[in-house]
Amino acid sequence: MRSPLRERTAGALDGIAGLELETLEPGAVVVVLSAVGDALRLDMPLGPALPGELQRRLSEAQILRAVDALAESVDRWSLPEAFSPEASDSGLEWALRRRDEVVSVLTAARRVLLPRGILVDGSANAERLARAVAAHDLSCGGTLTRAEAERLLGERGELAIGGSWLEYVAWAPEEAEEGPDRAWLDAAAGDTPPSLELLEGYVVFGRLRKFIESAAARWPEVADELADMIATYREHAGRVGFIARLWDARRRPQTSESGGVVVSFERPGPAKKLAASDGDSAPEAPSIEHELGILDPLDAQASLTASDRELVLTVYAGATALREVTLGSAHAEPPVRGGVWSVRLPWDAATGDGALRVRVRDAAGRDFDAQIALGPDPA
Amino acid sequence: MKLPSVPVLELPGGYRWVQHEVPMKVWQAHLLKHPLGVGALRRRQPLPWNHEGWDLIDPPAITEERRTRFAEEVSNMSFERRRCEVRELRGSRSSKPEPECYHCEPPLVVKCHQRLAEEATPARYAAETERLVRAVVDGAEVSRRLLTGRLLVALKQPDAWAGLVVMTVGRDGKDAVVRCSGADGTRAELYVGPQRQLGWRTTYRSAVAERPNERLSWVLDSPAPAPGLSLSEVFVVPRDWANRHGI
Repeated sequence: MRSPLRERTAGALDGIAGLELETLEPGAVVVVLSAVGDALRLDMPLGPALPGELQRRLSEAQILRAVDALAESVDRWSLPEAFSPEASDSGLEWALRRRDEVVSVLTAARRVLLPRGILVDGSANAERLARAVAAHDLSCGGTLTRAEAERLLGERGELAIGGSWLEYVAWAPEEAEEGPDRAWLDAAAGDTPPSLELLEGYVVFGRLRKFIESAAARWPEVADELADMIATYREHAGRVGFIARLWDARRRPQTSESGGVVVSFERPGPAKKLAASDGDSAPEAPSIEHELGILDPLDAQASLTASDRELVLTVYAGATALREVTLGSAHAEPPVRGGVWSVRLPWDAATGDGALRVRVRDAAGRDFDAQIALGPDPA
Repeated sequence: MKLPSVPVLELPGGYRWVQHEVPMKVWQAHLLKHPLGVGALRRRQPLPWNHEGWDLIDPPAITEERRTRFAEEVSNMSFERRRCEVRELRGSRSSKPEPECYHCEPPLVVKCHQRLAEEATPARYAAETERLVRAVVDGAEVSRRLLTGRLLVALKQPDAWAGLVVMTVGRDGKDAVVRCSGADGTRAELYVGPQRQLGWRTTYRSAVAERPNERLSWVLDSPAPAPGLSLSEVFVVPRDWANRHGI
């Protein structure tokens, strides 16, 4: 399918083939990554040679310097106090379009660096970029609607699909805003396979569960792509949310004694002594924190921290209050304030075949109910 | 102010920029917002008045000294007890998106414009607008794919960008617009009216020329595609630039 953005992206990919990648300065690397990221987000083929060229000729240092250059340019974004549809605002248009390019640059950077075992998101450079982006309220204090934002994105509006960064900005309400009915989104799965950006949102955060899982059920290549992504992220200690792990576990079921699918998480190895010269010092108490993402169908997110002594499940309520949080035999006390529930389970209280039940219930009576097991950290 | 300076400029795609009188309030509001930096000062985090760099073009549309002199004099002008309400000319700040010129008393607007004309700012602003549009009067149509590829290869060749203006056509909300973006960071926009007749919309600058990635985005950033509009699917560049680059 032709579109102005696809045409431009195809042209950019043509142009990249004529560049000496290893000599590019950071600003030019931003252009290359942005184009490659656009192509990945649009599910456009990169061609047979380009992925290898990027691997061989673009260094980690070049990419991280480009991320720095991007953060510096984000610092120069200039936004109005408030948005007025009658007043054209070139600075706002510029910031929104560049914000969208940030997603593309990071998408491409991940694609190039992950096979080398490098997680760009964990770098200080990416964190600085994230801070720079977060410092700008692109909703202009809640005066800009999402529809206006999509208009200002111009041809990049093609990327403003469900699961994109636009979902997470506190836009002004539309005049005739409809409820959170996502049926159209699920229906869309019948037409187009989800992009890599959407798959990543699902793997990391559990976003658009019905959409992604119905697409994976329909297209084997989407299921394979999803499984590869989950395996790669887990192999390199990347973040994989509960929902994606659950989907993965259902493909290769490992059942508990009581039946049902068990979702596996990494557990730290045994406590180690510090260096010999430290003599009688206490052993290290390593821990692994798993960001679980969204506990679909609830409006809640969670994290699970596994140390050598205990498990801690923390659940953050969204718009709907929670009523109950349990982990194995342990029940969380309702929080005094803030909607943050936390439950601790010492290892010696975890019994049976090692599978633990995680159950979260919200005020609307909806349940998240799953079983987990913790195994040794492969790292 | 009459724009353009000639009766008509014929552009590719059947577009015609016929000379028309820009209402003085509108013209004055844009002069204050862009060359005099009121727009830059009215950001959430205020920028320097010369953020758009109208003091850097040759010859400059304004300088700090000329701006200071103008601001002092306009602040003291009055008509029937009404005074200029643009706070930024007095060193303070407003949060409104547009300068107050749109609601100013017409005689005061005229006096203000006459005073600014002594600094040659309106003439320079108009000349820059017309320069950008004239660059593509005999322009060459080029596909998005080809131009993007060529410019990407030219990232490390600053000379390749000299004289480049990219004309794009599309829709910005309810308005159909023609946008002419110069690689030097100046941009002019024209409304598309009935029978493809154009009217001036705005002219502004951005300090993008020094950074290759921002310069590329600047010239290629287009209004939203609108397939029904002539040339909406292609770029237009100056004919001599296209010839120099084998397009």
